[in-house]
Amino acid sequence: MSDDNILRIWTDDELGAALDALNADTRTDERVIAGARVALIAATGEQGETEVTTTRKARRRRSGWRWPAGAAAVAVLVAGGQVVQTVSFGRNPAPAGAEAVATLDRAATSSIGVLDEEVGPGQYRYVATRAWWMASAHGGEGRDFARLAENVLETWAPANPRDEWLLRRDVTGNQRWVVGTEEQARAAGVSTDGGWPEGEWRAPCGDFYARSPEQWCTDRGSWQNPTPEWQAGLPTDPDALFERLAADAPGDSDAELLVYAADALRSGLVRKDVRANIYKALAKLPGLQVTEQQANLDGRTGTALGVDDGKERQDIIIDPETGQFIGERQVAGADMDLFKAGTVLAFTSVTTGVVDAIGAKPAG
Amino acid sequence: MTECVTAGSPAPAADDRPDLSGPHPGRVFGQLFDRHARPPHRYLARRVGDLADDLVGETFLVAFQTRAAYRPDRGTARAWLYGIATNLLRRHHRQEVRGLRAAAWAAGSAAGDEGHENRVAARVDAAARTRHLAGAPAGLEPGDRDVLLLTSWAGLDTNEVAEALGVPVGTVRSRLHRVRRKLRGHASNTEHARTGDE
Repeated sequence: MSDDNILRIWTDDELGAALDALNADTRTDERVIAGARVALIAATGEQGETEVTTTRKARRRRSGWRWPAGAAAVAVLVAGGQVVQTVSFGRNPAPAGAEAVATLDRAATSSIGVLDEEVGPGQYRYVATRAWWMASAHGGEGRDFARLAENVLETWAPANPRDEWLLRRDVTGNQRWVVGTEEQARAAGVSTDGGWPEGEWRAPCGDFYARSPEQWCTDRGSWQNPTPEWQAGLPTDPDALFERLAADAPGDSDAELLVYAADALRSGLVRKDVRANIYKALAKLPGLQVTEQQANLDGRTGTALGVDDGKERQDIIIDPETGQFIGERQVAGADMDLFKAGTVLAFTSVTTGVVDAIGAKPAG
Repeated sequence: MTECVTAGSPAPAADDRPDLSGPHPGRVFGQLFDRHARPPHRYLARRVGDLADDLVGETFLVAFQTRAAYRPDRGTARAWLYGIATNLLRRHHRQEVRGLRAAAWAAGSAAGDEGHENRVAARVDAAARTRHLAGAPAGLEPGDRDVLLLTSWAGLDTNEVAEALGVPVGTVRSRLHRVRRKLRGHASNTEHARTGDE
């Protein structure tokens, strides 16, 4: 029997087909992809650069099997043929919490009622972003270190976006050690400062990092770069805006939608009516909950609303009485290698104003 | 801070040769990730199972940290990323071999459960070949295994494999030839042995 198989040399095609079928039953968990993306973007420091920042250690190991040493794991292979077995998380069917919806409604209404400070001709919108980003490093011998470091980014956006903008970045030196201490890090030979760029950049359209002037003002806008044209093109119906957000945010994680919304809100450049619509759209975000009633972000307090994807929680902090976007933060949703659940991994607060000259700061 | 990688020679127009050196990495790497994260994850998962979940993220973090070393004129971003992923896999060589052996053993057990009446269809033949093959990659030199699986599982062509591994394309071709010959021999020997047992 099977004589035709005996001693027969395979063809390349047969070999290829056999290889194709080997361990073929793998699936990619979108939660993993979304988590890796968040970690990557965090490591880029929002368009910045870091020396040792890596959230690799920060990402929680998903429970699940490792390559087997025993029969139990082999049974998994035989029964399911699964190399990666995961429960699909997907976009959570649970609606936003009632309290979150009420907060967003109030914020949306307040936002529309508030007087948006207009930027007159020759004036600038001033946006100050105070960001605390995590830098972690390995000191050898199993010693890990992590610190939150304060970065201040100040942007002057002219009334006409095609005029010159100014960006100032400063690493203030303020730090909060989250794992280990500065002394221990020094002793282990780990860098205890820097990691992000500092200096001044000038360019039209806020294209500070364009490689050549030809690239200035060519970006059509996005949640990460909410140009006036891009904002004008957004749906005004909250349902449609939610669909747009869901379509634009990659992956299947609800948390990613909030990340994208936070990207736009954090810019400080979103018009009040668009901001109100984003709040209304977020009220449709499944799994969105009030995570803290009085969240304190660098001395400014507001209501924190967040989505937890099982690894990390993305929060936005808003003031429901004024509709102001105060800031955002990322919190460890579960114990990680380096961080306990609840550890704040990064936070950013935003203030805006109108000034008469580029480089000038608002009074007070 | 960033080094100009295209001085004197503009980046080729080819689609997958992005300029990663500009100081706008958040956006650039976001796009790179959206375009390229899933296939390497699958490739990594086929090689080391659940560890892929960590390695895919690490691949992109390493890519970000070493972006100044990426030369668009020397290869596609895809090949470069697979090269990084493959490098990271080397740390898990023992784990991969354990996994492949376990897979082979499991496949062997499953083979024993199937009745002779199932031998008819070509589909079964292909499945049987896979079972027979399962243990083979474990026995390969790591470099040969990389060439084989980057070709077969990641779907890279020989040029891309060369870019990914940083070896001449001729080396890739000869390794691939050698490893295929070896595997065909392994598979037929195994088939012979197994059929002889029955």
